Amino acid sequence: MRIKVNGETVPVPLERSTATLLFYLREELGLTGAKYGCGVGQCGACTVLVEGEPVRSCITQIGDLDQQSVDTIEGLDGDENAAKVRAAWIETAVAQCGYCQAGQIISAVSLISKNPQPTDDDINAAMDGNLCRCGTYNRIRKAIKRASGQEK
Amino acid sequence: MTLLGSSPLFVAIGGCSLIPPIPARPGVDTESARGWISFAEGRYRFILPRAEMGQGIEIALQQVICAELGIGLRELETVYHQSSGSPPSRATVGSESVQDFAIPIAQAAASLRDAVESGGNIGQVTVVEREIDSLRFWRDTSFIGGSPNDETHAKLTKGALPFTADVAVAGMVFGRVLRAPASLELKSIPSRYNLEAAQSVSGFIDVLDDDALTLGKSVGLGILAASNDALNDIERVLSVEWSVEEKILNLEDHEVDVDRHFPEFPDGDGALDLRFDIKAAPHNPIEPRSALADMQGDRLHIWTGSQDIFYVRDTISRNLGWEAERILVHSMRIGGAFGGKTICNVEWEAARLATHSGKPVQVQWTRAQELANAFHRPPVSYRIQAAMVDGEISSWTQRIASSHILLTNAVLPDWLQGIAGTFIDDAGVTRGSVPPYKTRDFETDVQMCRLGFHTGPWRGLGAGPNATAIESALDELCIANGTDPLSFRVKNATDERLSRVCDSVGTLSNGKTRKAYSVMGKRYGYGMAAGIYKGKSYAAAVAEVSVDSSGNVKVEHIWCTHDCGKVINPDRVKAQIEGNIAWGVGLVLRDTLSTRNGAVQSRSFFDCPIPRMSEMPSIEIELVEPDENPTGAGETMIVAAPGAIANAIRNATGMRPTQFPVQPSDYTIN
Repeated sequence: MRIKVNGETVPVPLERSTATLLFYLREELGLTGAKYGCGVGQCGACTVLVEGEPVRSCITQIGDLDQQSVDTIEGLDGDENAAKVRAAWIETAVAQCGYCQAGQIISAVSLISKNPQPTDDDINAAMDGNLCRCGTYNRIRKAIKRASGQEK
Repeated sequence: MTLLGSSPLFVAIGGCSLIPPIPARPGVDTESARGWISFAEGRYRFILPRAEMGQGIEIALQQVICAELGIGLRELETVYHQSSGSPPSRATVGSESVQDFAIPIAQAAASLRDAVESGGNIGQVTVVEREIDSLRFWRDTSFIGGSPNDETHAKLTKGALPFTADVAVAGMVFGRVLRAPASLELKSIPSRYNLEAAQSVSGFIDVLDDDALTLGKSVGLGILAASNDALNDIERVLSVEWSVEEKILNLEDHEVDVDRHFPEFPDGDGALDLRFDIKAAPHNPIEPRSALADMQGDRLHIWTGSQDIFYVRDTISRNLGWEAERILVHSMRIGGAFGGKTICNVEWEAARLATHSGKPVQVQWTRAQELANAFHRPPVSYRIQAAMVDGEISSWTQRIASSHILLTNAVLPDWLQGIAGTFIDDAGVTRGSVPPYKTRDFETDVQMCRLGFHTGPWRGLGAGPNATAIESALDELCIANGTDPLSFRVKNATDERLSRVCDSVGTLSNGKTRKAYSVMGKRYGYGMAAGIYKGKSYAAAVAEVSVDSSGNVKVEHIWCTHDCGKVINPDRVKAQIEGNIAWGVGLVLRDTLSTRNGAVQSRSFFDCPIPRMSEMPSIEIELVEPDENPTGAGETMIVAAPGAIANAIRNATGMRPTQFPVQPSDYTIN
């Protein structure tokens, strides 16, 4: 089986098909942007895109992803929406400790890719599964509105 | 026996290995500051002597140095400190970093600047202390008072800023120490496990059954594997059975019961008499504790996101019986600490597994371990009796029952905690426990009881819960006496700067005109609270909440004012205020921890939730900035935000919240 990670094809040996996507990315591929936070899909720190959809990589098995594309925070360089989100994130100085931020950004990129002008309710629905203990939520909201051109 | 220093942890008794190590660390001064800044080969270099955990100390101190040196941010190379190679520094706690470090570092930078300008200076620079007014940073406007966007944010958006578990070294393996599902205050030890099954797991490396793998009284069972997946598989098939000391421990509800400790509490005689109870709470950083340990030659290297790498070094040195210089701790950016990452636990587990196996070992606690093995905010119970005469507090009598914070059971054995407790109060429990308003007769007392789970410092220590109870009681006192809570605070604050932030928040919120109202069964209300943090920083807040017919509380908006003296970086100060408001929302609506005979039962964010995005209020902040020395901002708003929210619930519903977190069932409309 094979998966495509950040545009590059990665063959996965059959015996590794039960590996957890998060650990595979971090330990085997050295892609440490996605973080371990809870291991049970409750905090969102491990969020990556699978076929463009945000997925909790800590509860996703590699074996379920044959022939699919996985994009992590490290692999968003060519993406127009990601560029907007990143610029807005920097301008808003969103992060405090930063541990949850890769997951937050992935969820935000996915949101504005599907919904270019998200309302507050849309933002809540898309982002409520991404926890932040530092309390950067209001800045995340502002950055999403900036990235989608709704706020300066 | 002698008591040394001001911290109650510094209890010196010779010759017992159970005593926590006390790293030798002088207070910060210009001498040590000199060791953190240098100039060589045309480059200025700064060793950040604090742990960066999102509070923005890295950028704030860079601003101070760049202002003093007259250089650009990019001309200053900054590295995180290690446990050797630069002067030791105290733990990064108590919102002290700007307050205590900015001026000494500016003094050192000023002397370095003079030395470089005079040319040809090689070797140590003599720091000549000058008047604060003559330091350039004090009057600087190019860096100070601005919010330069450093590279941190750009790196974070690319996942390119490493935390401890992101560090990889050649040959690294993964470790975990399994522990009995029991209180850390009970002796426990692995009694049986299925080694054969573990060995059959792909990626299995070793099992370490070793009495040295202790945490409290728990002796763990170490496992090593080639991946975290393998660790999970091994943990499952090992089916460890544990031998656990049979003993009923102090029960939280029984012990942290103010009325049981103070049965003689005076009869109120018509005065206001309230009881408040606030549950225990975990820190819940998104980054579970993590450490990497690697033997290189005869030196053990530890990478960790710790608030106190010197404590980590000295604990590992003591446990291994090695000289401290053989342990080199590298500080990493911390993924949220909040007072919780101040002792040595996961670091010791990694160190022991690495010295045993001879391999570099990364240990990252699972979320369930993070809850079971860490210390937590203790529960606290209050009784407050107060009366008001002619618009002033005529009497205020309070009793507090809680568990330890600075005299934490996570570090101090029972007997030592007992001895220390006879000589000194736990200043963590009592932080912020005196109402900051003129009071004719004030009386307070506190009782602490060791609990079955570990309790210790949490953002603001006792200040958040204490202010929540005090500001709630004061609000009720104002209501009972028909006194406007805003005017009362402005008039009766014991400190002019508190009075000023109260006055400012009244203007900012248009507070006097705001009244409770109801729309379609949803009740809206407003509440105010204020406070002083560590005697030096001031905060006031007005909250607007809505409470629906099912009793669900939503904090709609917070107006707040904040005075931490001279502000180096207003945007990072505001970020800290926003964070404390999130913690205020959590304290009132969410924070809880479930235990059974001292064993933490909460295993995930489902069991002990933290606020989510949709639960955050919109926020307006005004920074009041007198020309005073900078003080702390990291915990200040925790003294105002929760009280304001609680008082707003009272205003909206007519019912006084006395149990935290509040339960919707208490505020339903039938």
